[in-house]
Amino acid sequence: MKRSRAPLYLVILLSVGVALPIFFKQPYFYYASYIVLEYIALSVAWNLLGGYGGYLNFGTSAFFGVGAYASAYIFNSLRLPVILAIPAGGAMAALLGVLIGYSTLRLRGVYFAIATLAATTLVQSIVLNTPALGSAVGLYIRLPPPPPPYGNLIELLFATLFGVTVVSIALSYWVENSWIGSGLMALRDDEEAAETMGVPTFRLKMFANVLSGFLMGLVGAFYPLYIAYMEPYSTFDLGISFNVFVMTLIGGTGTWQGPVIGGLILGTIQQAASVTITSQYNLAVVAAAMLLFAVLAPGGLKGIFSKFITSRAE
Amino acid sequence: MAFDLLLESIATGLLVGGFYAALSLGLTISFGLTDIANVAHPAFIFLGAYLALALSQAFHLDPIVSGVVLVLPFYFLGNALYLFYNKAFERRGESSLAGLVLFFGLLILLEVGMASEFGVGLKAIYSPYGSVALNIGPLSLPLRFVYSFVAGVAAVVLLQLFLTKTFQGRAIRAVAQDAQALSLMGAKPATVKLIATGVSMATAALAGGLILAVGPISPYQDRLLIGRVFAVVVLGGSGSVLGTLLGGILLGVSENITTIYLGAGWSLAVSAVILLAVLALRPSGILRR
Amino acid sequence: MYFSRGRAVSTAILAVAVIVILVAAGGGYYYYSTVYAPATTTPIKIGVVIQESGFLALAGVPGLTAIKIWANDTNAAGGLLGHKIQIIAYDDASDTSKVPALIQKLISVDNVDFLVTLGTVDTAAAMPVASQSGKIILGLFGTNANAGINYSKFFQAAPIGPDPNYDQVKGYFELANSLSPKPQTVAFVAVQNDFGQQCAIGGAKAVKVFGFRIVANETYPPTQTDFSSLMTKVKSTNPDIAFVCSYPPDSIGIVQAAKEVNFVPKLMGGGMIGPQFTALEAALGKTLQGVVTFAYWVPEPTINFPGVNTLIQKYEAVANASGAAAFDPLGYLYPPYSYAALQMLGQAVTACNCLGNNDQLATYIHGHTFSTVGGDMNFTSFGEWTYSRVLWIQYQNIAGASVNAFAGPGHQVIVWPATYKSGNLAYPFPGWQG
Repeated sequence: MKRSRAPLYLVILLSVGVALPIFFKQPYFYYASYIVLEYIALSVAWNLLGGYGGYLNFGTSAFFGVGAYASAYIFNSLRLPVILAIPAGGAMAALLGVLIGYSTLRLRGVYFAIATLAATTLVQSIVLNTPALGSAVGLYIRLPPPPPPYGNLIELLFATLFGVTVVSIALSYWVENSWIGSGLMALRDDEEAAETMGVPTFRLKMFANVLSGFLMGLVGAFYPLYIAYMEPYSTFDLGISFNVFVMTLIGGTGTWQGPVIGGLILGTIQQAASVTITSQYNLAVVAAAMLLFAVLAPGGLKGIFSKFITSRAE
Repeated sequence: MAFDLLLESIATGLLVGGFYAALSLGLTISFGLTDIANVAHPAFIFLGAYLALALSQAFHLDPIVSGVVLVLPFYFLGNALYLFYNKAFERRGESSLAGLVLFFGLLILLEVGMASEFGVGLKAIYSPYGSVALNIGPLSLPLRFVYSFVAGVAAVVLLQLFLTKTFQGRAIRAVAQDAQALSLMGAKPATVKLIATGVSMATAALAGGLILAVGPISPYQDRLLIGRVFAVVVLGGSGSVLGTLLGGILLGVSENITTIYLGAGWSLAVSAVILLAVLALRPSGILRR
Repeated sequence: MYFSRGRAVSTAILAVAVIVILVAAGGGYYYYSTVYAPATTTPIKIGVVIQESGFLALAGVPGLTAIKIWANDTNAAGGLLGHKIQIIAYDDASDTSKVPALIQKLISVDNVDFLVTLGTVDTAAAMPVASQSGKIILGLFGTNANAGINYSKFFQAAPIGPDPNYDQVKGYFELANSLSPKPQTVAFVAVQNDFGQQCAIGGAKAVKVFGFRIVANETYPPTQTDFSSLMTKVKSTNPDIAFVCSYPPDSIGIVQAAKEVNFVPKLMGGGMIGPQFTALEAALGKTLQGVVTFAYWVPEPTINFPGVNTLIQKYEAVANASGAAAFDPLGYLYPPYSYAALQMLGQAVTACNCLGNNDQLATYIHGHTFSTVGGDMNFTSFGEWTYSRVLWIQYQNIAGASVNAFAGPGHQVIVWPATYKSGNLAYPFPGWQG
């Protein structure tokens, strides 16, 4: 009965995201929220394989960056419509997921993690050596004008990214409650046992990895439109991968709410700290928050919420 | 002429490899043997480098000597770190994932601390052998890398002896394989990990001295080390000290060979491909644990 | 079934938490900008997004220090048109992705009058946002930061010139071209970042103009530690000229490696950022003797613009007060032109008397020449300097490895251009010392 309300929530949320920029005009809010949304979406995507399956991906920035550069190449260099470039970015990242997955997902999780780290270096180095992708000089992005009723490109970007985030969350919810999610969680808890029970572990891992990669690439595909000048160092920054990992862990892995909570809270703290606390100490505040959450709520904030609820219910 | 170039690149690759190995020893112990993924290890190396800089400037010591002086204090620092980690995580049975968050936060805090205490810019120290090379035939071997290589190999040999010949060392290797069996034999896993973390941190002190001897330092270079150090550990076989040396050498030599034939711009890509190939084909590394 | 009461409640709490956080954050932003306002008459607000941490902080911190010195100087003299200067600075931690949001906050929440950024990457990322706002943006240093949009209200601080990547490096090749016998071959070594690559592109243009032959074209990643192989490879091509485009840690590594493998070209140096930093000079000492790099300002008597020595003294006082945390104690590279850019803005604001009308002010700036601690400056239609005054210096008379060995005149001798020349180039490169 309650389950059928989910599509309704979805539509309401999407409408909010689309309509908000028409009525609330404060560009800074959209620029800052864009980054928070980006991290929420990346964390939700990360959680598909990391939280449900227990295979940690330390190459989030590789997938993000591949999506960004593929998208930029298509609409900025090849001058094809942006609407084609975005899913193409996702597709290229999914391809990367296939390549990495095939070579390392049959092994223990730690090897997959290191492989994703190596993949980040590899992709960044390839871009640095490829003049068509701007190499180290960077890409100057030609920004398209926003279609009405949006007066500002950032409003359109916010609305679209908001939509992508909502869809990612919905996908995550669906995976969590489907046999795919159950299979992933089974192999996370005991992979050998799951295999002997007939769970197709490799195919599940590949599915989660490719879907996760696709979503990360999709998020990355919007980045050129946001940053307008793209270079390989900040695009493939290791900090993105670590941030996503930390956000999901703080929020709680293994549930769709976890990365949303973690991304929202840590992302907002980061944005607020960068404009209120001077210079490098804003990083210290963020790090202190991480330590606090890690020590006080090692199972994730979502776990705290749940415990609070269940203890009240008794 | 081309042969001389190849010889030079292999020789200096060996030297740099020893240097890389010294940087990675701590991680192979903590990550490979005690299962503590201390991603903050590079930051501790730089902490060691800055403290070595302070020592060298105050007492006119050679940077590597300063690093050695810091070994014992860092051992105790490692003990303290383990106690905190144990109380906050292991005792409560939480997964090592939350520990990763802890270490990443620690990395950032260390960076900020070093930046506010020592400044955000690059610092370097003058040493008499700073740009001097040992000339053997057609080879020019930079002394700063020769000394780092010697120090690194010495550390590897000492650690290998420690891990194979002493009771504590063997206990550390044992705790990696089966903590329960170890406790049944009378050694407490927690004590063993305490010692291991201390040893791991002690290598960071030496590594810090080496980094200072080799070039200028800044608080933000630690992030650049993370990928390299993990690569060395995995290539060599996580948990194997000798493997770390081999992994470092493999990385150093491949970087230099790439420089000669493809151009240094591709060296990181080639290293990444080698790592990926090893992961796909022989994941437990050259010298399996 | 799945969506039990417990989960429904926890999701509801989550939703409430989301809304609370958003409202609090939004409220916090507005409070900070509108309620918190300085007491006096409306100040002129200058919004700065700059690198106070991260690997580019070695440029950002000296630059910001100079900007603040200018603000203090101007306020001490009564401000501009009676308004005090207020600097609002945000740290982007050398991370490009932070720049758009920070610039936008300065524009739409803090309501600044002018924008300042430093470096190619930050300025280029800020440009579209700045352009939309119609505000004037000063880009300190950086190469071709305005190449993407050609925003008409961008003004470059450094005396690079109308064709930035070429003008930044052409002096090195002009210098080489004037030597006799004329050197023939060049080896390029460039770091893989925006500066290194722009420098190499400019160098390639110069090679065509002056008729040299490229015998080696190497690039390397910024994390490279050991340059022995690279230098040996370059040495084996026997170039007359070494043209190195590098950033601080690698500049040092390259100089050290060149000495170690005994690579002795006739002209050694290039677009090298790094030797200009005091801490690194002091560590290399005599090894730098004979190396030729670029500079924007050095304490040579031929380039004594009015006010620049006072600025350097003030800067050094601030830098040395930070004790162990001191960065770039001498401050020759970034402070002079950071200060000069703000000086230009101040003069323009006063003379034009058109605060609030950015179009008019920009037109005024385009149409006039300004006299600053960096000399006379005027701008092309896209904000670069109309002429180039990049200096090429050779390290000479270096006594040893200390800060004092590099302080004051006589150690960074200007060898090009002729207008500012303060000494002769020691040619060919005598070989490595120290």
